[in-house]
Amino acid sequence: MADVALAAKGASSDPLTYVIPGAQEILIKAARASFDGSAASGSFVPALRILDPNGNELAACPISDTLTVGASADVSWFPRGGVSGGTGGTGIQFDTDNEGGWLDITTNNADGSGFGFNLVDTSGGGFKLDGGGGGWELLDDSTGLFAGLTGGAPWRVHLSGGGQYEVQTDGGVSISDDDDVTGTTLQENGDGGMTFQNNGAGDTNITTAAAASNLFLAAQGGGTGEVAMLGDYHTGVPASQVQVNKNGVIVAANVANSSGTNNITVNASTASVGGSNPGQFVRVAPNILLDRYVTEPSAPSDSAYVYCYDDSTHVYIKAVFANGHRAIIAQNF
Amino acid sequence: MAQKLTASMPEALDLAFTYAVQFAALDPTTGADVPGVVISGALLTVTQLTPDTAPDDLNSGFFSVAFRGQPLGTLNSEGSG
Repeated sequence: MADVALAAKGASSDPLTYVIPGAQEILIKAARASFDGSAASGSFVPALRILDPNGNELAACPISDTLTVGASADVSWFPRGGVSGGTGGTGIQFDTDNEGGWLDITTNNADGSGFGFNLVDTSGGGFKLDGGGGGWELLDDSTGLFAGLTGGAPWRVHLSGGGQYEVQTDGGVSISDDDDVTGTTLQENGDGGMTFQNNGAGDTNITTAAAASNLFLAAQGGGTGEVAMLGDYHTGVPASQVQVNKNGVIVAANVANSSGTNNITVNASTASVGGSNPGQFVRVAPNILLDRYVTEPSAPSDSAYVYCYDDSTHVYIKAVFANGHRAIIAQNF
Repeated sequence: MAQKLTASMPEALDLAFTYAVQFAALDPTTGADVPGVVISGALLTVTQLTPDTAPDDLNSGFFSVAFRGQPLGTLNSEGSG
């Protein structure tokens, strides 16, 4: 079937009507007209109407804009046409695939819930944003996408339905905080536990890079907490500490402290090395590396420690107690 | 300068004779026609479903055939139309 363009000559200040002539049947594919509101008696909305043989309106296709007196518009109608124009375009419609060159959306006001931009899916079908390999960028200049949430407009991924948040990449995950105040927290508030698991061949490093900074591994639950370091652990920063703050157990195959001021301590009030609370201890296995002294070290003020003493004739493993008494544990001959 | 606006219309809008297509300026509140709006340059692009041996039969009122396209596959036999 051929397409035919039907043009109206001249202009009309009344509705402009095309009546399908006798014995004809047509399929309307598009329409356009110019509306000059210079002499309009009031605001108006350009529309395309379909009338039955008795003049009854079967359908009306108004544009979404209201034109004021004096305004003029060139209006085009076509299936899947946009609801408003400006520079034209095909608009976004429901229940159809919208596809075009590009789409920029800018909002200038918040809705009744305080959001400037709010995308909600209530179908249960889920929500998918596909970057198509071009990357993803979410920006917030302190008041943006999630503004209005408690805590000073944070970014938040909130799965209120009990779901699991999964980050899956082929190139690694990096979480970086450049702020000197708020720090970074990974917090599990439920009873599901937390796991840091490295299934690859590379190392797992938990590092405190700043001088005199501490590394706290704190088991604070009501049960018997455990901090298990099953591989090599190196604290290379002077005065750094590894602390187990409650009911802790440290299991270390090889703990290498590069500075004599480093500590591994158990601070819980009910836990002590060799104390009366069974099951709470520090285990260092299979090797114990003792610092070597060539002069006898002074006694601690409130505890005891084991050390290696070399008087150039023999090598001893000794213990020194808070009262200054010393005991030889082993000696070579 | 006239704004360029677009609007949606039904797809596959099949109309038989004595039905009418009308361009109108409507009152945004009442839907009544607004006097004084001059409508010009009206153009309808249609597919003629009846045998198109006489497309000029579509001439009606203000409207007349301004351009007739070619049915697919018949360009060589019918010439430029």
